[in-house]
Amino acid sequence: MSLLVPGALAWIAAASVVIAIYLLRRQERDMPVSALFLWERVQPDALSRIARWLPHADTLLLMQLLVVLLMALILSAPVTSRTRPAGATAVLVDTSLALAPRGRLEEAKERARALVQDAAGPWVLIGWADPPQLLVRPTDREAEILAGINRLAYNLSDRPPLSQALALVPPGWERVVVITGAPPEDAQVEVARLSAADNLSIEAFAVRSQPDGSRHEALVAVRNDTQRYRDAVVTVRDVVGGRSFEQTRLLEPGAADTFVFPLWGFVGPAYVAELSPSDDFPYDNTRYSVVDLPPALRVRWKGEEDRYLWGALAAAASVERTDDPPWDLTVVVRTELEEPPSGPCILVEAGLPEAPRGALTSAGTWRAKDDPLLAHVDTTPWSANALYDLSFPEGADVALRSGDIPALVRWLSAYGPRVALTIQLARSNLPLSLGFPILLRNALAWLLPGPSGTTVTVGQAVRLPPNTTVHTRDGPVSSVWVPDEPGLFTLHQEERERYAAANLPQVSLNAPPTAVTSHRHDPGQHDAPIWPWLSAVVLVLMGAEWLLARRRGA
Amino acid sequence: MTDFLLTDDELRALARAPVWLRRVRSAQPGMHPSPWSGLSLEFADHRPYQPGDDYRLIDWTVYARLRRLTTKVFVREAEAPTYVLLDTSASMAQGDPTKMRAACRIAAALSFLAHRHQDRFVVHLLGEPEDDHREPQRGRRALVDTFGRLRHVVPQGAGVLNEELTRWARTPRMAGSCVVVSDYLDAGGYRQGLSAVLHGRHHVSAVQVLANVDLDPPRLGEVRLLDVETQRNKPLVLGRAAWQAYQEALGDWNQELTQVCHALGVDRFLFSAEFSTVEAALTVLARRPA
Repeated sequence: MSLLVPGALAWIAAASVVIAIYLLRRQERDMPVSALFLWERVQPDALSRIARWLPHADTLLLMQLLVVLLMALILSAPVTSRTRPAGATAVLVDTSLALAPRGRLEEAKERARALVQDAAGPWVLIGWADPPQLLVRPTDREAEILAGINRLAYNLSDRPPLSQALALVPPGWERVVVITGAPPEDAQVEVARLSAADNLSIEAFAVRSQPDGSRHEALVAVRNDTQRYRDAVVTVRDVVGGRSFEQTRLLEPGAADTFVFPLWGFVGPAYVAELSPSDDFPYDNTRYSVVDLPPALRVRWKGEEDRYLWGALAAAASVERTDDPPWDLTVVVRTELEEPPSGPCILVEAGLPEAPRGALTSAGTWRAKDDPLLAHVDTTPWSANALYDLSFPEGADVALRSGDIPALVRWLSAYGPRVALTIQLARSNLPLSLGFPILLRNALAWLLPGPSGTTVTVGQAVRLPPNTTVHTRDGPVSSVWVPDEPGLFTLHQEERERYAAANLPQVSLNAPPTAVTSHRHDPGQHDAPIWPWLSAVVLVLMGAEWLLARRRGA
Repeated sequence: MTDFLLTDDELRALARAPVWLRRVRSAQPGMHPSPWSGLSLEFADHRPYQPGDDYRLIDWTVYARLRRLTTKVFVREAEAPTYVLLDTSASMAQGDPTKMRAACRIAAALSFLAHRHQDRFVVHLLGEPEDDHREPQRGRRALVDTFGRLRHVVPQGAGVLNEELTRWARTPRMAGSCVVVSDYLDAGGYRQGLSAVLHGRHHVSAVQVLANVDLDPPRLGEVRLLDVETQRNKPLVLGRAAWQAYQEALGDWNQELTQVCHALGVDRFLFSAEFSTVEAALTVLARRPA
């Protein structure tokens, strides 16, 4: 305990006044009595003359002296020094999905309460989730910050970079404490690390076709984030077809493994992967995936017929010919259109007003570029004799050249995306090569992006194509869809239906113990006033003194 | 001292109370049953007829059955004049409420009870010798006069109870009920005075009224005790031990008073100044029916 105003202790001298009053009151007082003779035989209480002048242990006197002493002590402003991290404290709590494991939210609240009660304040409470939130504004009131801690809850989002949450910390605040189970490495902040959560999780799940289009397969990546060997049972269910596949594997502690399920025969549009046994964090034990199967495309054909080209298109996607709008794609073959077609368009040895076909030129050596049109396409076996020298607009991307002549070009025009193949197919081996349908599938994927076979993340906004609606629990959604729960959703686009899978973000619950550096703030001293307690003692003493004096009849 | 006499509630309570005197020795006829037989409405017994008995008292129904003349005997109802002797010494001014106040209220209550039973009554102030010749009277006017006197009683002087009671007893009076109200804290004693009063064939009651300061003096520490009557003083450290010693002395004094009263055949009562006046008056004067 220390005194802020030590000079006020001089008020202790007021005790001399109390003693003087006491001595004065000890003088004889006249007490009229009815019969003095009754008192004649009464012996006075033994007190010597000196003893009468000495203030002996009278309870009232002692209590009055104690009151004077306490009053002087109150006036001297006594404070107790408590060891508390000094200064303002910003508490960042990981309120992302990583707080969902059983008991972790309560542990985070307990850590936050301990931090607040161990700090002098002011405080601010920030939720580290996507987006970061200022849960309690800077305040000096401990009750307010504790109430904010009691209201803490997690959401189904991932953690953004810590810098985004730190941006909400008021400038000049010297202490920032992050409460999380997976702190970032060397974040230059103090870390209150939550206890590790045992978790068996599906890290990734996808159903995809082989790059060569031979078959589909489901891939499930499972991680055993526990301290024990665990039997992981993975079940993949075909939501539409009703088939299910199951594999069991023993996983080492901390190890990850990939379960591959070959899907022969009919391939359904939507699949669910489930992992058992369940654990304290069930959110990542179920994941959804949709097969990247384009729906039947309505194709308008312009120009000459080419059965090889049509066969490759049919191999790449489900297509159907149409001359009535609406159509999804226009294929222009060996002709020069005077009017530019609206919507996506594939030009094969053809030209448009925006990109005239040009003259036929001898082919040269293939020069491929890393381009989405050539993903999984091996151009080495390709051979061609001639190609058209296409005049493409500025800004177009050339994926493949034959010599210096562009052989495969893509660009975005005012009427829609375009992919132009200038190679003369009749005098090349492209239609017979394995990469040709893959090339066309890549072109379709670039020309017709969309939610067909879309896998999205909960909490992230998805821009839907025109005339597309999603039926959610809250009703149909169009234009922009922000999934708020995991699951399989149906997309309606005019008369067609597709599936979309919404999965929770993959959140790391724990981080390696050695990977975290916590910058602990040096504790400081905090002065807590104790005059209210002393005042209460003085009041009690004065009340007791009054009662005692009244009982004595003084 | 004007407003401390009896309240309306107290007067009503006293008016409702039936009172039988303990012992009535008066020869005058009145409303109280006496030890002697006489003429009244209350039948007492039969006795054999003696010549000279009133013919009207012969019980002819007994004669019809037994063929013997018997005379009916009735309870004799006697009058009981009430004498209230009030100690007005300075010591009666002690306490809060004062002993004088309590004593005057008791005297007023006794006078009212006597008035209710059509007895004569009188209040004598022992400190005033001229009061000794005051005769007991009955009636509303006597009551009003008595209450008026009681309102103006001022305790003063060093009363000597023996002398004052003896002086009062010298005046011949009709035997009655005599109530001596005092604190009986007189160093000169009281036995002689009470004996003198008893010689007048009165039924004597010694009513002792003590104040709280007499019964439980405050422990003030160093005090100078001042006798309000003799003006003598004594320094004393009044603590627990002295307080206990005083209690023992007071207890011995009161015990002696009880023994003296018992020896003289005097009823003795001790009341605190705060005690209910109605209860005190009824206790002193009345005898409840069994």
